Amino acid sequence: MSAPIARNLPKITSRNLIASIAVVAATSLLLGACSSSTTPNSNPSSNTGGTLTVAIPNAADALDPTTDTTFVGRIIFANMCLGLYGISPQQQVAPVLATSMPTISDGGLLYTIRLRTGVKFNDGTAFNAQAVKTSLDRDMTLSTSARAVELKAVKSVTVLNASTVQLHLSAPYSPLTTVLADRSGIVMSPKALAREGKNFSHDPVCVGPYAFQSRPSLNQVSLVASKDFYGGKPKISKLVFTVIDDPSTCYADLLSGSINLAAPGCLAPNDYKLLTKNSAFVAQNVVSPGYAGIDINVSNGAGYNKPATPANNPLATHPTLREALALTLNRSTINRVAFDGVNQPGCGPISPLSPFYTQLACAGPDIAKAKRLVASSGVPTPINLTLMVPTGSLNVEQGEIISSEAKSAGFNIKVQPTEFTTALTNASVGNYQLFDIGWSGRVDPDQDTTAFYTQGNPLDYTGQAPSSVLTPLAQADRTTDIAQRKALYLQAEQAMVQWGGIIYLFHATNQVAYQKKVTGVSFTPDGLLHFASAAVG
Amino acid sequence: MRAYVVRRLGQSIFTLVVASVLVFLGVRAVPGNPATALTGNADLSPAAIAAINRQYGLNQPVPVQYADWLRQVLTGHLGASPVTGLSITAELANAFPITIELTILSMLIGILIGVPSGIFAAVRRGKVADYVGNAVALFGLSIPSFWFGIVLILIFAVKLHVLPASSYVSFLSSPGSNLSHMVMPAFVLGTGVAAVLMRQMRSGMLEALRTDYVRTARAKGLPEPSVVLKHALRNSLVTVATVIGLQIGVLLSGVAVTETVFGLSGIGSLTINAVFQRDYPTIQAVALITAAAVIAINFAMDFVYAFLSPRVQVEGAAQ
Repeated sequence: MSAPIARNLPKITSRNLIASIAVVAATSLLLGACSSSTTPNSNPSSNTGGTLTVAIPNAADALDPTTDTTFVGRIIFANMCLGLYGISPQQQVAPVLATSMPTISDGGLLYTIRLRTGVKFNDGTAFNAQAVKTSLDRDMTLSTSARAVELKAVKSVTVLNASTVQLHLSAPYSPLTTVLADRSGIVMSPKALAREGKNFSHDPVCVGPYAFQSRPSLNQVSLVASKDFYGGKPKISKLVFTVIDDPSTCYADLLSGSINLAAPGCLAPNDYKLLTKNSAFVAQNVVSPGYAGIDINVSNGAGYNKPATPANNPLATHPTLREALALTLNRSTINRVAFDGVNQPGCGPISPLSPFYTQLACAGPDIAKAKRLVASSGVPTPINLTLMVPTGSLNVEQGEIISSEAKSAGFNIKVQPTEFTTALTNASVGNYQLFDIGWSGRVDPDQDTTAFYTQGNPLDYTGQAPSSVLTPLAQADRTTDIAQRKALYLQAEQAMVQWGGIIYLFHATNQVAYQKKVTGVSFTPDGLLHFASAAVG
Repeated sequence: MRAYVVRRLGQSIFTLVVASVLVFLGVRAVPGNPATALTGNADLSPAAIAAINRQYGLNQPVPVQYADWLRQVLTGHLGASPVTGLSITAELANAFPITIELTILSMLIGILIGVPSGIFAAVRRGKVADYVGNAVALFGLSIPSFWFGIVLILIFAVKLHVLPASSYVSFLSSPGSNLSHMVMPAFVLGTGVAAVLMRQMRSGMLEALRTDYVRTARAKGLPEPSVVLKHALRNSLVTVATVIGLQIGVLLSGVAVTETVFGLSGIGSLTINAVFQRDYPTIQAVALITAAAVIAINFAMDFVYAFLSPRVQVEGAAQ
């Protein structure tokens, strides 16, 4: 038997014990409340200074414009690293660090770009043509560059003088200016590049209204107002990007004031709808360059980097079945039920905001015709298919609606939720039949089309498209005439719909919501948020 | 006692070495080129693959790679994440304190609620208090932490505005703000721990109260509180200590759901991000450090056993 542990214990009664447990439970909740500062949200109410906290839906990878591949990375760069060009609210390419659109000569093989003068990087060093050349050379040659493929048409970059740079192309490439409006056009401080080398992401320095301060963890990036910015020091002292990957938590945080603004992708559509009715918040829904659709594995049977091979599914060998499947889908219903109507139904990849957009008449839903096409194919029903969807309740819900609608024409579609990165890998290697996937979109239609239909491109999940698709796309790349390009893209889109490798469902939209006391936020159609003129209070 | 300690230390070190080998080989078992596995990028050029092979020593024999990796781990040089470029050591140094603090606070809440309520339920067996205690424990075990967390946020942050909904403030920079940020997530986790401990404590106490020595103590006329707390409780605590050790291990490995709901950048959140981004070096480092922490906790718990039950010491010496 053990020795006595203690003496003179108080008499234990049920009342004492219940009271003790209740006190512990209540105290643990109240302790924090009593200990907290006056309010959970420490943002000051003054118009100048203060911190703006922005929730983003997932973490950016390395903060290096040369290697970054994330959408949220672009949001951060939009405030820290400006480029030669940018996108205006009207979805037009506009000069930023350049003074004007490039002068294109020599049959489209020479781009001459004039640069702003008197501009400094956020480390105080001078922005000039040599810095532009250094950045572009890095983008084209770094072994881990994600920009190299975007700049594939550029042969070399030369410095004409301190404020003029020239890009020499190997072949005409009209989307190049739009490419330079994305991360490829971001100019990095040569001093920082020389100091950090491939670790530029540890302390990135560019030209921007905000300068990088710290990245204490994967889920948080802090920027501070730049005193060197040519447009004047921003009103907000500090910009904090914090990752909130659960939509319910993002909504609750916005309501509680823990965050000031929820970036695109943070909120669920139904929560966004509630915020549109809440007078304490501003809620905006903007059509983006992106789209949502269903990729069908037609000739990607062996993988994108292998020769085109028919896939193992009846839709690969029967084009009429692809058309039949498209005819079963009611885009308005899917949009209303799964997405609370926030998206814009459409049947092509080009955004309605684009100058190259022509509205296509979407065929369907037409169940009678779908049934006739299925019957004429000779394939016995039910036609069993698997629809791979990225995990997430909205994606699964959309998949279930698609499966339900397709059943009416004899398709038996099984929805297979798959982790996103795994799904992309499966699609690249051709290990799928149907894939519910979207694309965040780019301003130039070339970047929303060609890569997705050309065998050998990692984004081509569906397989090699016919020449009726690829020929007008290639022609559109080589001309800068807008009317001509518009006509060619219309021709290509009509061929895409006829071939049916991708069934386009919606033009994607971006939702953003923020407290009414936040002003001056610029939200461009590409989903990027600009806080150079923002203020809190 | 010395022999017991040495034996347990040896077992712990052996377990840790085995864990390190499994963690190391795990990345190499991923289909495809190790360079693509380490970077999560399946579309690398031959030049990029060669550069990564040189950077990570992938062109060396596997035992040499393991020795190099082990040396880096032991000297704290875990390298940089190929996805984010951040130092893995720095990321762990940021994440672990959050998880450790959450673990400590959750366990405190769990023990302070679970142990007394388990004792009380055992002493009041078959009475209303026992049934209520079991029902509350069942509730604590059944309730999903993500739901409970969101409910607490809606009540205390959104409606009452008395607590922040998410994120983390370091204790050193502001103790009050730190506690206000941690109280809800700690309570969510603590109630789950309390439910487990309550059931274990009740079961252990019921068994102890039926033993001969407790009957003898009562027969000797000792007051009931003395019988319960001085004699039955101490012998019941061995199994409860086991459960506490296991629960600490679970919490230290990161409770990703709770961290996600409350915006805490702890080990769970770091692991989830690393998995989704195919950041294998970070996954490797987190797995190894977590295994080491769990092994250390279990080693420490063995001392607690020895304190609680002298039989452990005697049997250890006899062996």
